[in-house]
Amino acid sequence: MNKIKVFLAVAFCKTVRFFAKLLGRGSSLPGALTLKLFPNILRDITPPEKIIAVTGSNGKTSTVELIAHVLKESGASLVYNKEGSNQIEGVTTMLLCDCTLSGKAKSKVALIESDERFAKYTFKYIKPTYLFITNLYRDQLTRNGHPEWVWGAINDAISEDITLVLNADDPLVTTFGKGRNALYFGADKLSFDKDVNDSVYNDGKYCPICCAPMTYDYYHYNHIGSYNCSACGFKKPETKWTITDADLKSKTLTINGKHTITLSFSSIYQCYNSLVAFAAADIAGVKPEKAVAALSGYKMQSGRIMDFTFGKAKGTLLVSKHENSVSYDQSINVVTNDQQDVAVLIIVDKISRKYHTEDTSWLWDIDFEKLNSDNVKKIYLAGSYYKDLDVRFSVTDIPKDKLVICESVESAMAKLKDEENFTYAITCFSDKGKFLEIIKKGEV
Amino acid sequence: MAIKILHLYSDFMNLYGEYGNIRLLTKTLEEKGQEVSPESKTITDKDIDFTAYDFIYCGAGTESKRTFALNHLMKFRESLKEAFDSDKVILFTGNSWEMLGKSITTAEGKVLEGLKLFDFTVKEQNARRLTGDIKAKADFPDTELIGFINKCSEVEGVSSPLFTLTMKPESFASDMEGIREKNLFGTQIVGPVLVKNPTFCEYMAELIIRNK
Repeated sequence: MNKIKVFLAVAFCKTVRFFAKLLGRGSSLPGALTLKLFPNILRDITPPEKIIAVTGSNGKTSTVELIAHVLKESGASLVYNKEGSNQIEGVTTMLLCDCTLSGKAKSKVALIESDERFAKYTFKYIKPTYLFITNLYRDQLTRNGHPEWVWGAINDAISEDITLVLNADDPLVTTFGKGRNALYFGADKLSFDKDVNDSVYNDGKYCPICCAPMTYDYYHYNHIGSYNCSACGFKKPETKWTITDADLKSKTLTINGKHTITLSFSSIYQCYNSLVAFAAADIAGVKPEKAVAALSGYKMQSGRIMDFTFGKAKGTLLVSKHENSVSYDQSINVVTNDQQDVAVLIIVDKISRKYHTEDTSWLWDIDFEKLNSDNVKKIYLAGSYYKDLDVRFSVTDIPKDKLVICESVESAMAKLKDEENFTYAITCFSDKGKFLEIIKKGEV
Repeated sequence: MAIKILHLYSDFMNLYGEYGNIRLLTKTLEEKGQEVSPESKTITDKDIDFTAYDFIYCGAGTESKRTFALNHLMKFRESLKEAFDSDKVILFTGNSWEMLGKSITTAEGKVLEGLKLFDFTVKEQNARRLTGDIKAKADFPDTELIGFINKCSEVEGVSSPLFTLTMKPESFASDMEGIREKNLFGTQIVGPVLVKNPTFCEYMAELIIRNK
């Protein structure tokens, strides 16, 4: 009976997937329909031997792309959710389409990007062998509540048989390892580290275990760094995979003192993502030399960084996440680290493409004050939330004459056409479409 | 004499952007020709005299941080009560105003003693986060206000709510929201509520000046 059920479910899922693809539909639908007919199907299939899952606030998609690239380059037999459908429906599609009709996985390794809030549903039947947790930030609080709330949701998804692979530099993430089977990755003190957290807020100020004030030896960025609670002894743990050196100017990164990777785009984010990919490759049995070769010079396909030309303007699009101040802070860091004179275009037109909200509180968590830098000559603030941006910038010390307030993306682009400085466009997935469409047309 | 503003627990009772309230209120007061001296007090401060300020503000926090704040604030209950009784202008946003009632029952079932300025009780749960855009109406200023609520609690027994919600997520039990007693304003709205509502900010600024 079970065999027939599995046969039917796999065949059904593959068929729906085939037609969904023809119709240009995403990878969630086949899994969703299959789960309606066969709610417990994931329990009845034989999954791949090793399941590596990745969750956290930022960097999931990029990390999964990098891990997949390294594993594929080294000849691993792999299946992964490359379209980023990271809830149970997408994972079901991916696993069932990888199965034979008797329900046995064809691939040896499955790589799963998992939404942090829904991990507990996905992991109910498909237990990761290793669960990577990248970080926990203030992210989409409109649906996530706050980082500690998300912590609770992930914590409910962790069962004893999962080995955790945790970012040791993020205090809240580290607490998942308490009393559990955990390995850690992180970065030693780096040349660009800071002694103080000078961002708008400091989510690492108090110990996540006992709430006493913590001290930091160094901050890599925001509250990510080496922390220590003198009251309860909680501190950054020893790391198995470690960035021992990183140079953002020469775009190099050294892991465990001997494996040096050349990055195609240098940001601290890319360093962490590469470190996670290196660690995952190690776990999957890939030799470090092979991982280094695969990671070196690799250009991300996920379209977070893109060059553009529009009229006189030349620049780079840095896709950030609305409702996620750390991702904006990272983009601002790229802007201010540039040696040349630049212009900046910030677009907030639609806050999310997945749900409706008009909340712009998160703009106040972004350290826009840092754009008060000599190399930043002009700042275009654009989109339907231009008034919110205007008020936010009005409490910074950025000179008024540098600000160009534009009530729509179109009106901003009409002005940008004549911009002579190199331009960084900072916006979110939800707003990059409109921007890129105008770029493609070449006119407003 | 400068207007003294106290931002209480600004370093951890900040779900997101709560400091925007203080920045904009300061700016508004300054534009009205006032001299303003903003100050912060936090968990490591051993001495707080609430009666020394013209305006006291506390923002939203996570549930664990709220408990942390409540434990500390309990030591200064009398001073806070005195400030409230003497008509000081006070604004508590997000879950911070919930500390002012009789008790808070946490999601784990623990009953925390509140600051007992009022008689209401609070019950938290951890099954479902209650979030969403809201619109609200009050009798001061008489314009419609907007905001975002991000909570896991319901409050019972407020005799004088601050707002009537004219738009709210379905998951919210009541359309009465917050508290208003004397010059104390409590609202569940998180983040920079005064930034989003210039009329509210203006009203608070005028009230502070009048009350000085």
